Amino acid sequence: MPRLARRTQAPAPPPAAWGALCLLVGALLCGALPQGLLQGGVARAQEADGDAGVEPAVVSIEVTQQNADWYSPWQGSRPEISVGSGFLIGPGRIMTNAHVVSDARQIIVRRNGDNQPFFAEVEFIAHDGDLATLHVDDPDFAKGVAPLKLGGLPSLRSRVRTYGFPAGGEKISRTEGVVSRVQFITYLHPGADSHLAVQTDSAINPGNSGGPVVQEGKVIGVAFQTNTRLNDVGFFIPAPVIERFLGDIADGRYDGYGDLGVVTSNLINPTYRRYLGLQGNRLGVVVDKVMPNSSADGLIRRDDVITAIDDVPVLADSTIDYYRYSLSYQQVVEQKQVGEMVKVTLWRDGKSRDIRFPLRRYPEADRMRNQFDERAPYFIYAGLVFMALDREYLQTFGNYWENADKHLLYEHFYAFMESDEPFAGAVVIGRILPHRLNSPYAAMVNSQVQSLNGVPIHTLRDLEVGLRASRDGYDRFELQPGDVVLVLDKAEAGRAQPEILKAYGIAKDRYLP
Amino acid sequence: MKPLVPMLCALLLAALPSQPAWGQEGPVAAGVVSVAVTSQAYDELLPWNKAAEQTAHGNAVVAAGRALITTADLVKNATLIEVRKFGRYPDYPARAVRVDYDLNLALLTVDDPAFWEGLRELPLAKRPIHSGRFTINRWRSNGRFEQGTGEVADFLVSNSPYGLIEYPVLRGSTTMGGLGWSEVLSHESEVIGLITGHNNQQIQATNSDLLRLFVAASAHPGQGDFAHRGFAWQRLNQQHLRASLGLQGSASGVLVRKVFPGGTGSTELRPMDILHRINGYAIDPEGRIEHPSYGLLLFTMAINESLAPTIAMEVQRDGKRLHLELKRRRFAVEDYRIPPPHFDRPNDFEVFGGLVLQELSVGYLQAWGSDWRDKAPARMVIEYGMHSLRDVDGAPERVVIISRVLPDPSNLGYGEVNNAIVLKANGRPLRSLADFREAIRHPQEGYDIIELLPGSGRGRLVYQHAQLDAINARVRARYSIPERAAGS
Repeated sequence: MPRLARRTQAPAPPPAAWGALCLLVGALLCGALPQGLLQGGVARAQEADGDAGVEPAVVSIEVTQQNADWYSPWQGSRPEISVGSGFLIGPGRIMTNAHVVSDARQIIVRRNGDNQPFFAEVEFIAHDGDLATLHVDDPDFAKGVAPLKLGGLPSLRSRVRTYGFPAGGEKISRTEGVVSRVQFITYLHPGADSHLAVQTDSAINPGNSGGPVVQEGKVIGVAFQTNTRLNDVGFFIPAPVIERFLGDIADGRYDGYGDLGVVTSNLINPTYRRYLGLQGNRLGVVVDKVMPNSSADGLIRRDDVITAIDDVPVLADSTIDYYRYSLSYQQVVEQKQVGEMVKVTLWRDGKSRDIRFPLRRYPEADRMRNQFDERAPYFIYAGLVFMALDREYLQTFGNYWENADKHLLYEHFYAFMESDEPFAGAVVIGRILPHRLNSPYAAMVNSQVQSLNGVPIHTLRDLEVGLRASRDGYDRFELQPGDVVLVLDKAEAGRAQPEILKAYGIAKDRYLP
Repeated sequence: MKPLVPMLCALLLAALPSQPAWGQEGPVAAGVVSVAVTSQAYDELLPWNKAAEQTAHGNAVVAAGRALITTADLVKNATLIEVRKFGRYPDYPARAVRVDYDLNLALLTVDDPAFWEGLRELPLAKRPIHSGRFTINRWRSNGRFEQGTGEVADFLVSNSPYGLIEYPVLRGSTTMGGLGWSEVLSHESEVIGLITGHNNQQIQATNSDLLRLFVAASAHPGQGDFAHRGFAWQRLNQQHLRASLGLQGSASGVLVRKVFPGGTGSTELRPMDILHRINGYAIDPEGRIEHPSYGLLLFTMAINESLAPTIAMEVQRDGKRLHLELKRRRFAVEDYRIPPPHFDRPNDFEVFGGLVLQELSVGYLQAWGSDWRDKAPARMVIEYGMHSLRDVDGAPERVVIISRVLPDPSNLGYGEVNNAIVLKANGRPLRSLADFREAIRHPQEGYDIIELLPGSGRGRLVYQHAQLDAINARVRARYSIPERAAGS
């Protein structure tokens, strides 16, 4: 099982996200390292491999985190303390993983071998790319320490060293290994994004997250996750991804990744290539779908063949040659910033043509990700807790949340792919707080709200507006699955509302950001 | 040298008394026979293959008219059925007269008159028992007659794993082990049920009322059959919901939400009808009736309470009470969009360019095991959950799938489309494998183009039409696929 390399000191709370399970596994693995284990001969070794000056710039990060509670969205979950690593990239500026400092309530950083705590604040955080920068105001924190510099993408089989504070501890740890693979993998923190990553056998353990991976004294990556199904395998976020993040925040704002918004298939089948009139056997992927409201909407069509992006040839197996590595063609798009122009070379109607358009985010994909640093939106009416259908809601079903109600999975994962319309959102009854008004409706929990009084419901705002609009009489909800009806007397529901909120200790009946 | 052991066995058996032994084993033993079934299932995933044969031992009740009642589960895909009385040689070949997977019941008979000598027709209990102990009777494959006891828990309206007909199922508990093979439940020497399943110390059984109706329907085909419910309904057990429908002061009624073509009520009922009474029983807001034999049970059991040609229903529609006679109907094959499992015959399939095409069925999904709802391909399980019956205004249709891609140079790059739903072939929407076969007779500018449901791994598959005969012959030869399915 893949897991993040953050170390958790307090037991993870019971909820169901697999991420919490990963943290539990991490907690099991961690144990205090013997003091001084790594001290002998360290300086000489670092001089020999060019890493002199690295260790002073590596910091431990102790974070008090409080995740949103998606089952009881009106309250926060139990705070927990976790430990990760980071490194100085500028005066008082630290780079680490987003998952180390997500949902942080307090961040304390310490330098290697120094117990002096310094308070830090999140400066920028990129949950989709699992990177963050912190800032420490206290000038004493980084006094006399040179920030680390970024290197490039390492060669296969070249040696790398990982620095950090695995299993916590005051003293830094350094492990060494080789680069064994460079590829796109799913970043576990967002859960739904794949980016470039480097696989190494340099040990990466809970607590290493956010620490630098170094080659010849330069940072070539940020350690971030492992895979427990594989032995001695860790992953780090390589320099090109870090550079893109730093480029993104250079204007003082994090915009995130842009997306073409196309679904493509490989074109290695010779017959398919002949059918499309393609010359040669090497180039091009065929467009199966263009997502509505995406960057390419209205510009790229189904059955177009993408042969190059920004003049980088796209090979028929959906890859590009990238610094001697065969990588997904998405890498070309990934390197660009939102708002930058992208040039796509297409094969359409037997001719090659170039089109240029600005790269945009595809915000509809946000609901596919784990959410952090946000409270869960909700709306309570007559004890029915309405929530948005998103990944976090589905994860309240437990570790095997993919086994949640099939209708909801369809709405979340498939419906938008099968539709030509943009995904407008979906609202579910996430929980029912039992009350005499709603007790016969208990079986309707986890139903999707199709409409309220005949008006389609896609968002919690739709619901709020719809309930406000119906001033008296009955509120009639049409639900799926099962095509069932739920009716509430508005006056009686209104009278019961304070009683229900009081009984369940809920201060506010809604949070709609 | 002749083998001695079989000879000795034959001598020993010959020395046994010729009179039936049910004097020692009790009268029920003469009304229960053991059934040995060799079956060979059709492979749902490689539909041209049959699985290895298996032999299972079960039981059957001796019924009137030289009939044996057992479960359909026991005799599904049977290649040989043999029955034995009193646990002793000889075995008699039996044949299935009627197998109803919707009810999980089968009626067997034995043509050899000698078989019936000494056997006793067991009476089917006229009323279900609601509490107390029952006896579990079975013949083991080693010739021993065993009896155990159990206790009735309750009745639940349910359906067979192979169909949608609803009927009351007896649930009980027992400490007797190794159950699940059509053991016969008796009470005071009358049959009260036939075990259809067990889980730990819990058993489920088809009750004697259903057995009696099944025998009657078999004896008089054409004079009434079991029926499917052709409508979806919702409880009306919330006061605001009832008030909004004008049901204040009424103590009955459930709401019709959908009708399904081909089922009972499909032409007589409408969405938003409120059902108040069925066969004279008042339907309470939770959908239950007070049945004189079963007590409080879901009203849907009344659909198959008898095999009368119509079912009386009192309905509230647009504020008026109507008395409707619902014609008893059973779904036909074309009423299913994703049909229930079928046995005893192979599945249709097509091998085309290394693609294995089938029509999605519950049998296919059940190939992933008893927990197929979690294990089978998610998009297909979703399709079943959302749309397994034909639309009320829709033409009959099936869901055509690519169940597997058999690697071949012609499908290079298509390997990721296993378990994909096919929408079109050569621009023609597909409602069946027959549609597919017709569509590929009409290539588009020399190419056959197959379009998949978005999200299936890729959007299209393209083949050169002129090459397909050679490709298909090559694939069939490489993967040992006959022109027709085994057993077809």
